[in-house]
Amino acid sequence: MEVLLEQLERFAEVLAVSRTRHASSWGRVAVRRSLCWARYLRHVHGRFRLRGPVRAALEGRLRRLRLRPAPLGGDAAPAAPCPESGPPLSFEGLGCGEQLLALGLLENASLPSPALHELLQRLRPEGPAEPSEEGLGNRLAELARRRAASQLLRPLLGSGPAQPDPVLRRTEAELLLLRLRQEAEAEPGAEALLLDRLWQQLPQPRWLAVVAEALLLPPAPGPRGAACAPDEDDPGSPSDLGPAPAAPLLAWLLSRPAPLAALCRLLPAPLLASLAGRHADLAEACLDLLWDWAGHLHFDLTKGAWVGSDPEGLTWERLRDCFRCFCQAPAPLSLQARIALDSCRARDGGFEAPGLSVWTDLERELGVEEPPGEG
Amino acid sequence: MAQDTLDTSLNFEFWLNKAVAWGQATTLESQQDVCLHLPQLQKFLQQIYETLKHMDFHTAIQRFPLIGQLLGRLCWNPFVIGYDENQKILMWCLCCLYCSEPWNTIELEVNIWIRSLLCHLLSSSKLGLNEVGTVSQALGYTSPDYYPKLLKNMVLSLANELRVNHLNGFSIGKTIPDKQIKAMSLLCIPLLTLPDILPLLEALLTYQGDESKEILCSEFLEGVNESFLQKKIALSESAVLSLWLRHLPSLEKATLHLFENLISRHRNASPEEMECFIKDSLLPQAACHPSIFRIVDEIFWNALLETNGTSEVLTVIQVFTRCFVQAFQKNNDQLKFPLKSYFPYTSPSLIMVLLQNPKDLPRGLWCQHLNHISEILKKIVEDQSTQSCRSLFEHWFLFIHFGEWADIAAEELLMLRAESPATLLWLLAFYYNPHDQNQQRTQTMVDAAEAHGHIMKLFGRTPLSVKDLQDVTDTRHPRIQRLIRHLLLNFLLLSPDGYKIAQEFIITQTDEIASELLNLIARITYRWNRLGVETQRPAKLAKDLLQELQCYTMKSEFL
Repeated sequence: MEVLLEQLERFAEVLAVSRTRHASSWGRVAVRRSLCWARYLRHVHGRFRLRGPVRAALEGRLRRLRLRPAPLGGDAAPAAPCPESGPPLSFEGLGCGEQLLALGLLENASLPSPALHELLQRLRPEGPAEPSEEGLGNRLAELARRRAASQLLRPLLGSGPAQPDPVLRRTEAELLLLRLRQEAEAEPGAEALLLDRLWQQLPQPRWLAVVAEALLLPPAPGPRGAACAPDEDDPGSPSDLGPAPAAPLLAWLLSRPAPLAALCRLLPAPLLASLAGRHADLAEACLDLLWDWAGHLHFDLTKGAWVGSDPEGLTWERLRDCFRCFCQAPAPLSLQARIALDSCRARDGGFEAPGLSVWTDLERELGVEEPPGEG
Repeated sequence: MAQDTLDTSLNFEFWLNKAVAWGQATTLESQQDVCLHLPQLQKFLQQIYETLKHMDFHTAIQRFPLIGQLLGRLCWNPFVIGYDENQKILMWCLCCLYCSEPWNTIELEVNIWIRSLLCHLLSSSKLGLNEVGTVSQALGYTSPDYYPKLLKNMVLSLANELRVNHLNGFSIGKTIPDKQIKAMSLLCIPLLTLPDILPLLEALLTYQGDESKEILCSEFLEGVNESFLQKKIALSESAVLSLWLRHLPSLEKATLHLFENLISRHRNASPEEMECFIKDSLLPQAACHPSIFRIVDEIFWNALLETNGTSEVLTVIQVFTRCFVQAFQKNNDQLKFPLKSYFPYTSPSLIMVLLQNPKDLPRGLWCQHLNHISEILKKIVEDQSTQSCRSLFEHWFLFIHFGEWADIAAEELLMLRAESPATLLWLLAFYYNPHDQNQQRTQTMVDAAEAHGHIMKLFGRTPLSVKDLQDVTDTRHPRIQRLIRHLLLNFLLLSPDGYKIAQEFIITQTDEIASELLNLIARITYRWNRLGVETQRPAKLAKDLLQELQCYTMKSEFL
């Protein structure tokens, strides 16, 4: 067992190094050995992938590896995964370790020719490969075929370059949830760190779109029984992620004011309404936020409209659109929204005349005069 | 060998020109042209690889100076890459050309070029699509994680759109024009054997447009059919049914493929094995749709005429009909068509009576039922008003479908259970000689009765010799030879004395007759197994006899 764990460590290092310029020192032997390890670990993955003590031990070791500073000499890589060297190795990653390694080496311009030659020979059927190694070339070819297929089908999906592509969005959302689950398994609390980093790194509209999509993904079809083996071909499929895959994401969102505010401000109103309809906590948080912001609006007599003091902040139009969509959504969101409107209006003084309370005007605009349940 | 090299060189120029003309296959014409040539291109690439694999870069360049251009252009054509094994072969070729220790600038540049081409084939970072992979890269995922998911989502989204489009077409108006659906089918042609695409294939096949003419392109339909027949894709029953309903050539091809399998490639298949093949082909299930049934039946009819009604073809039709009837009766939830739609030119009472499964009748009533069949058929045949040649053959063909009853008639005749053997003999005579005119038929009946009598006398005779059997089958009654052989075979299986000399007798026959008899034995044992008949011992004996004879015929073929 200890030998296995050591090999696991070696391979994780090797995989990380394969994408960096440190690979320039590799020769044929190094490539051969690393492919050997990758193959061996793939068999290990195949044998132990149903949850059990061996798998737990391997995952534990991989977890500890991440916390250790990477042994890369001068550039002390941070404990957080560096994009350049790929994600930290997970147990599932062992299943396609060979491919990851091969791709890493292929994309690495600093890998010397003899080393790459060694790899390429092993992709051919007559290469100096042992019979059990045959799979790698085939699997890479399958990958190439799928890539070509997506390229072929892409124009059919009909979205232009300006419009966001819903299929891409969905794929990214699935990957996000998969990654969150992997992080959560590795270390509780790691998901929040990941999400913070992504929030900093990615352009906001993009990030928000993916988050929204992830929160809207349909839940798992049925209860996750013990007999249900994880889908090997598609580890991120909804059925494998468990009953509430987006829970960590939601928790993060609710605990971070900045992303939440951005969500409420930037997401298209109908989409926001779908999200709120799906997650009651989020609905409450959004309504609170909207109420808070509405307090910053004041009525400008010269323009005859409600304006905000902060040009970046909430506008009357945005407030109205949000509430309109909320009220048109199915119950319980519509009910929640109307109750909110009524109570806000009452809090302001229950005025009837326009221009005095933003809530009165809002209700009039939306045609929501009567409180629910009455005449 | 020299011829091969010449072919490859000529072809090289041809394919290079094609590759140049196709470009990245962005126009409809280039796409259609690529799809037409994909299988041959793959063969050609395989040949190239076979040549390249023994060479290094320098030799390769001398042999194929423009190899770089060819490979490069093909790698940028997604139609080419998406097809079957092209991507694998191209990868192998590139791996062959890579220089392990580059000595000069040229070799270095070649290496760089090969590496970038391989990256283009495999990795997502150079996709050139808008922002693709930003989030995925930030998450740390690469191609092996990304593409399977992306493709799956694309396929689901498209399949869903198709379904919605079909529903919307009636009220809101379509979001996808027909032209685009045609384009979709064209784009799927290289991808047919990729399992991920299956939901989209099914959605396309079951898609019904408004217009009566076909929107899917015919190369797509042919390609799907071909892949299905070669068992490279696993389509659902309803998708296959849709395919055959909308594309007649596919249905015909599927039926002929089945036939070829049963008659030529698996000559010695027992009826049980035939049943498996037939059910696997999904044709019986599809034939529950009358228009499909009629087409398949037409093909059977032609086969019957071409082979002059050999026993093998009769068996195939019989087994197929059995599978069809099973599928038809199982088809409770869907719309059931009236029986008349399957056999429109025949009398409904005949259909009903033939459809009766002997399994559901107590054995003692079989004779009565056979009499009934005989009566109805006789009436039809002798009725002046239906006396058109066509009508006669339609009824005969119908009878052939349920030929099991004829087999039972022969058996009952031998077991002497019939009250009036003449009725059963008439049935058997009609089975083998439908075209007899009135006078001929009378003569036939006389001859048949005589032969029957002769065979029945054999029961008592001991010791029985092969000569006795040959006496029966001598050419006294040339026109009813097959009928006589049928009766004689039943005798051989049912009488202990007859069984002893059965093998000896059969091997003295000509090859043609021997295989006819073997086929009959197979059919008889199949029926006995199915009907759970209490002739345990004869059944086992018959099976042994069959096996021994088959070994014998195979040996003699070998010699």
